[in-house]
Parts: sequence; C-alpha cells; structure tokens
Amino acid sequence: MSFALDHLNYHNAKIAPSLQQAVRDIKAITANAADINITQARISGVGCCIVSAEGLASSQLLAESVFQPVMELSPKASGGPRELFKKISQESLLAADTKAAATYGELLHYVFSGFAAVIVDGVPKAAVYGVQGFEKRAVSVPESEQTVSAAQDSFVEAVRTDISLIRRRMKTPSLRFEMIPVGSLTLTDVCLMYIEGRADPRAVDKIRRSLNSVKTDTVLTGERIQPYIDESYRRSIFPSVINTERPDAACLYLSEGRVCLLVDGTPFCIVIPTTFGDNFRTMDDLCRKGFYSKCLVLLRYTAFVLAVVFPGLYVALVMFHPEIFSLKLLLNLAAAEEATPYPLPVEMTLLMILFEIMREAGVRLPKAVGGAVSIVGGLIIGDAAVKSGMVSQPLLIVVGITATASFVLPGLYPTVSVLRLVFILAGGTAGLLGITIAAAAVTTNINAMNDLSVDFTRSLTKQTGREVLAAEKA
Amino acid sequence: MQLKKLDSVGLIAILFCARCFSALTYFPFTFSNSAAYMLGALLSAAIQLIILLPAAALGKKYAGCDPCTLAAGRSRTLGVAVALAYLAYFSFESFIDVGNFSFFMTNFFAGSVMRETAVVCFVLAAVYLAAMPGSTVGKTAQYAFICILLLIGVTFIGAGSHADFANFNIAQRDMTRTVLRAAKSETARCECLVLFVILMGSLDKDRSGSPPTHKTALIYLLLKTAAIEVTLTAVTLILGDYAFVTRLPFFSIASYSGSGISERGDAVFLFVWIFTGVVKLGVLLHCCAKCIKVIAPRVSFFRAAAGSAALPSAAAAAVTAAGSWEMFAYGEHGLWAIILLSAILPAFMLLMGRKEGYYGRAAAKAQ
Repeated sequence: MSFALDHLNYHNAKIAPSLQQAVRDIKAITANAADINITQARISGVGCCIVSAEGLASSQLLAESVFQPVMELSPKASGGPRELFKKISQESLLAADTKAAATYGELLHYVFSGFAAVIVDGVPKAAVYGVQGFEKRAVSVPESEQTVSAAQDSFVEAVRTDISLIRRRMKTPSLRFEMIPVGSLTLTDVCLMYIEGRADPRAVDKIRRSLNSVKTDTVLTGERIQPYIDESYRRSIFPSVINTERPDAACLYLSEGRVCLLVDGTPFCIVIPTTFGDNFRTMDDLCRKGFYSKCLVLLRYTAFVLAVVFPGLYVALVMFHPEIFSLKLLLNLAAAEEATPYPLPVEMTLLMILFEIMREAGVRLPKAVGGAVSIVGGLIIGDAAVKSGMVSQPLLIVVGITATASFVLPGLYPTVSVLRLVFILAGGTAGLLGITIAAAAVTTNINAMNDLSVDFTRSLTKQTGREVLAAEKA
Repeated sequence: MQLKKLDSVGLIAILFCARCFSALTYFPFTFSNSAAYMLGALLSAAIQLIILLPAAALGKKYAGCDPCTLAAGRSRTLGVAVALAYLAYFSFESFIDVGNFSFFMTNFFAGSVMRETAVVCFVLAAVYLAAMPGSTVGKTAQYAFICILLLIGVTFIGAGSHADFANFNIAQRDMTRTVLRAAKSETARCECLVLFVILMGSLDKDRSGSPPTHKTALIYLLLKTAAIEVTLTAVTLILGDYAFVTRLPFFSIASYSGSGISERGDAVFLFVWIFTGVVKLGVLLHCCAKCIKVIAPRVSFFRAAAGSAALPSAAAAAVTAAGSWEMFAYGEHGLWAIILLSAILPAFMLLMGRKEGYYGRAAAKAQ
C-alpha cells in the first residue's frame, strides 16, 4: 500500500497479500479498537489470522466451528497459501454462511455483523464465516398490536431472526429477500422482501432504487428511510406506509403483493404500498366469521371518526348550534358550561394537551411507577378538576370517549392526535363551517394519495364479483 | 384503470353535487305550483338528454378530449376562443357559487363568523380540491354524494309526520305554459351539463375501450331527476306550495326534522350544504384551470386553479358586502350559454373532427 489507510478511505482498498500488512491495516482503520480480536496462528507453516468482534461473534461457535477445524487442518494441508485458502473457504464446512471478502470494506462489514474472518498470508482475500452470537432479545408477544386469536410472536431487532419468522410462515421459493446496506455511517442492513409474481416489479424496482439513494448517514430506525420510500411523506398527514411488528401481518401483506422492509435494529416491518383501509384491519379479522369481522371494521371506522371529529364537533354544536340538542340535554350542558370559567374551546384544548402529557408520561415512566400516573390522571386531575369547577363533566366524558376511541387505532395515533386539535380549533372558531371545511380538506388529502400507483382509498383485498366467481370455478 | 383519470361514478357524483348545491339553496321562486314544476323538471330532463347527445358522442369518439383541446388541436386561435368561452362561463358560475355561499352563510346561518373569513376559508378549500387530479375530485364528490343521500333520508324521515298529501294541487291558470316555463327554468339552472362537457375529457375508459359517456350522462340525468322530484315532493308535502317562494326551502324542512337524538336537523343540513358547495366550487375552479391550461400551457395547474378563484371571489365578496346579491342570485341566467356550450360547440367540434396540429400536441401534453 502506498498510502496509509484510515477510517475514511478503507472501503474499496484491497486486502494486502502480506499478513502482517493486513493486520497493520486493520489496526490502523479501526484505530486499535478494543473490541476487535485478531488471533494469529500458523497452519501448515503458513501464517494466518482470525479477525472477529468481541460480543458479536459467538466464542463457542468460533472455537468449535473455526479454531478447532482450522487447527486440525494443519497436519493434512499441503501446498502453499492459495491451496490452504481454497481448502478452508471452499472445501471445508466450517459454517453454514461462508463468504469471501476482497476489500477491507467488505471484511469489516462482515466482522461488524458478527462474522469471523480468516486471512491467509500471501492471499489478498479473506474467508468469512457466519458465527454470530451477539446478544439479542427473544421473540416475544407484540406490544402495540395485540390480538386475541392470532399468533403471539413479534419481530425482534435482529433482521436475520425476523427473516426466519417470515420464512417459517411462507415456504415458497417465490419469496425474495434482498439485503441492502443503508446509511454511510451505520451501514444498516435493510431487507427488501416481496413475492415474485405478486408484487409489481416496477414498485419493487422503485423501492430498491430509493433505498440505494438514501443519503442519510445514520439509519437506526425505519422512520429514517421513510422520506425516501414514501412519495407522499411531505404532502399528506396520513402515512402511506404501515409499520407492523407482527410477522403474520407481514406475511399477509406479502401475499397481497406488497413490499415489506425489515430494518436491522428495529422490531418493526415497513409495508408499502398501503391503503387507508389497512389501518382498520387486524389479524383477528381473519380468525372470525366474515360478518363479525365486517362489524368490527365498521366499529373501527366509527372509532376513528369519534377520535378525530368528536371533540371539535362537540365544541361547534354547543357554541354555535345548540338548537340541535334536545331540551333536557341542552339544559344540562348549559348548566355545566355556565359553571366553568373558561371558554369551551380553551377547556377542550387544555384537556387534550393534558391527556397527551399523561399518555406520554405513561409511556416513558418505568412500569413500577406507571400506576401512579393512572391515579394522578384519573382521580386527582379528573375528579378534582370537575369538583372544583375548572372543567365540566360533559367535557370530561367527551375527552374520555375520544381517548378510548383513539387507542383503537394505534397506527394512526400521531395523525389522529394532530387532526383532533385542528378540528377543535376549526369548530371553536367557526362552528360547523370550520368542521365541514376541515373535513373536506382532510377527505381531499386522503383521496389524493396514490403512492406506487396504488389508490390509497381502494381496498387491495377487494375483489370484483367476477374475480371471486372466477376464483371459485378454478 | 389509470390512477388520475375520473371514473364514471366519480363524474356522476361531481355533477350531482353541483346540481344539488343549487337545489339545496333555492328554487326559482316565480313558481308557486310544485306539480307544474315537477312536470317541468321531467320535461327538462328529456331536453337535457338531447342537449348532451352531441357532447356524449364527442367524448366517446375522441377519448381524453374535450371541445377545448380539440379546438386547440386545429388552431391556437380557435382553441383560445373556445377555452375563453368556457372559462368565462365557469368563472361566472364560480362568482355565483361564492356569492350564494357568502350571502346565505351570513344571513341565515352562524352570524358570529365574519363574512370575509368564511369566504376565504371556503374558497381556499375549493382551490385545494381544484388543484388535485380529476380522480381525487371525483372521490371527494362521492363522499359528498353519500352525505346528500343521508341528508335527504334523515330529513324526510324526521319531518315525515308533518306531511300532508292535500298540499299537492294543479290549480294553475295556464298549466301548459307554466310547465314549459318550469322546464326552461330548470334547464337554465343546469350548469352541470357544461361541467359534463369539460370533464368527460378526464373520463376513464371502460372494458370496451372507450369512455362510457352515454351511459354516464343517462344515469346522471335519471338520478338527478329522481332527486329533484323527491325533493319537490317532500317540500310540497311537508311545507306546501308556497315554500318555494321562500329562501332555503330545504333548510326549512330540516328545521322541522327531529328525531330521538336531535331536536332539529338544520345543523346536518348546514354540514352537507357547505360540503357540497366546496365540491361544486372546486369542480368549477378545476374546469377553469383546464381551460387556462389550454390558453397558457406553461402555467402550472395549481396556479391556474388559484388564479381562477381570485376574481370571482373578490367580485362576489364585493357584491354581497354591498347588499346587492339578491339581484344576481334570483335572476335567471345561462340558458343560452348552457345550450351553446353543452350542445352547439360540442356538435361543431364533432363535425370538425380532430387534427393533431403542433399546438394540439403541446396542449395535450400540457394537460
């Protein structure tokens, strides 16, 4: 090498044929990182070294699958370095996942992914073996998408484990997995999954190109790559991708011709393209009879409308259109609102903000003190606020219904909480005029989304009558 | 199906909303006999079917084209002239739409909202809708269409206890002349026919490979006539003949319409009325933008939609502020304009045929 290698210029630099030079280069690139283990040995009189990362490669697998077989090879190996390299890389089964690295960039990418690399003196390549043994979370119950009758496993942070959860359910060779490293600093593995013959090839190609064009250097979550794959990211308040932590849901979407992305380090799968109706489906719908599932879907749509529109509608009707209420209800509402000091929109907005604060606190607090939030929120703020006359009871009922309804659709929660405030503002300012114009704008926004040539308001699972009959006859 | 193309259901919904906004607002109050008006409306439906025949044939023969683009294909001058004619009509209808909204909103509904604020919000929402592709406008109109049907159903069921069949009568001095006058009046309120002529250029093809213009026009006319007849029947049954000489007769029924949940239905009416108004104005501005794109292809669609809203909105706001709106609102206007733009011009372009001149290709590409 005529120039010194460092962490900036190592990517395409070829591995030095000289073992000592290669070791020096690795130490220079990693600045003698404390977690890089370089074990030197002589095999059949040829110098070798084994490079691994502490904590990423399994010590037991390393010893059983690499060290021991390689050392046992020593008396039998003959020929020069190239023969030895050929033996250990092509003619021995040291690990299920065996690859070759020609550059320091590839070598270090594998080492930092838990592989062990064997460099032979005189050969400008390294043989890498999959001996991953890093600590990872076990497959557990889904936290955000709970079901009653469907499977109870969820994705984890390790992308290879997630791939196995998908493969176990879809035993078809048409299922494709493509690993694409994303992020110049993190080189995060993003797995592109689709079913050949079902997914639109143009959509797959577009997503592949989008992933290859990601400019951000750090990709730690799926949200970082969403602006690149979601065409309407900046144009719409509704997400045109879905994040699911359920492998069975991901398999369902794959079977419908969608493309799924698994981001290493994130226990969620990104599904594109999606439709508005996908937010209202759960895996439980597939475990029950059709009529009941349809009723539940309607219930979820009702919950969505309640969560978004109900507070604003209440404010608009009470302030601007009280004639719509029956006399008894109107008298009760009037008496309740008369006793409170603040205007109705202000009360509603404050309560909503308070609710969001308590919800956020409930998410961040350790489980041990999580119950305290319930007591503070429910008893102290709710009950005491009403008794002291700060807020009215009907208002608290509205907030309670709204909050419960918004938890029916966890995937849409960010959108719902923002839209709710918009509708409160619109209703409090202009009554039903404001509500209607806001509703028209939101409806237009939803109807205008069509990522990857898929109409956002159309159900991808909906078949025409003819298609259903054709399927039944086949 | 092309994603940005309008489908048949969307087009029907758009036209229905456009007509219903006028119907929900007022009826021509020179008529005090609803039976005569209902017969006139039936006659008008037949006349409208004849009016739309050349346009439907044009749309089927030259898929994806409307009279403006066809004219532009022959020569720039002809294209600009035709586009200007349609633009002038749609701008005037936008002026009427904004003015009606401003007038009735201020005088009959929530008085605590400033007129200017209400108009600005209304127009901005319509511009946002107008700047979208035809398919988006169609889908939004479908939601408004469902709301209209729900409003009609809920209102009539709620006010049904007040119905009295004896309110129908044919006590009219010159029935034939009244029916003919009603047909003329009803046809003069159908700007939806001109909208059909322009929007059929965005209609998607069906399985046969050509846009279903005839079928769409027929279904729309049947649906609209049914809705008008049902509305006239209900208003007459519940309020009587003289309701038609009042402003907002449908709103009056909604005020009577109570149920176990609500005392009155006028808030529901207000919601549907405003939603339908936004859709109608949005469609008008969308068509204005299509005409502007023929005249000036390099202007972006959003700018064309926003620009076409400015003058009508300002004019309408000024007239309503001056208190002179009723002169425009209740005056009969547009019958010969409708016949010219819905029947004569499309028939003329059908006879002229299509010619792919340089300007035609540029205009088609710009669209």
